[in-house]
Amino acid sequence: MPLSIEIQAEPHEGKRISLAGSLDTDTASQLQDKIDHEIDSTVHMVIMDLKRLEFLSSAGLRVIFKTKKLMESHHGKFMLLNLQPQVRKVFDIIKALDGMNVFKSQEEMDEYLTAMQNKVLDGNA
Amino acid sequence: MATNENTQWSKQIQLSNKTSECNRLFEFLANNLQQLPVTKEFRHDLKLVSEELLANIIKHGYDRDSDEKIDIELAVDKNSVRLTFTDSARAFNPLERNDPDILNDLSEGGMGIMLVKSLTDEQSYMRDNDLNVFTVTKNYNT
Repeated sequence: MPLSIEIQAEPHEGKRISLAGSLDTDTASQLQDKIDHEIDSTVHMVIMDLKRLEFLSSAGLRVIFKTKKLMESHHGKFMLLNLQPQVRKVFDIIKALDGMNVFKSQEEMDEYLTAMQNKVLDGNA
Repeated sequence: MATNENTQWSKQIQLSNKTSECNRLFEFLANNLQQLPVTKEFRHDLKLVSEELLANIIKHGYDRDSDEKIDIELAVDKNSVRLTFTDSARAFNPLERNDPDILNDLSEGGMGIMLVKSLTDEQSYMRDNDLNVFTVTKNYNT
């Protein structure tokens, strides 16, 4: 099964990476190449939307962790959105969700972002 | 290939040591597992396990860009499904790997075998002459 990767701009210098299909040992390099080209220190937030991701293996997980590390290296945000049960299971086995921002839905993520935004505004007041 | 007197039927496929072969592996599993009365989750777990084992052999066993073969057998009995991976690469026992430290070490493997251990009931490695033989068993009722 192929992997489809869509990258869209988000507010606050963000980018949303939407994945569909299979992120496996064969397709992981496609995602890595895209990230190498599109994500640099000018990007302050990456949202990885896994709503249509049907299959994930450790090769794919490695790319996701690398992206998280890359974002952290320039104090950017990294968020995971819409993990399907079979994808969530892989993260759970590796115990990989500790310290990750994971959101079940767009609404939940928006709430979090609004709260963060307000915190910043309060801090500046 | 390891056969067992309880085996009801078995199927084989031979793959090359290329990551693109995981598509043929997925197809092989999908075709042969569809006749089994197992859950979608069971099928998914077996697919994931076999992908990890194939990836392990390609990455850690054979040299890059070499043209080698990997034999896979799927054997079904009334209690379980057994997958056997046989390759002629350098001796490599993935069960000897330690669990990875995810937060600090991304380049190292180990995540794959962690998934394999978690999603199957038995795992065994054997060096048989010049062959690596890795077998996993997954019971229906787990």
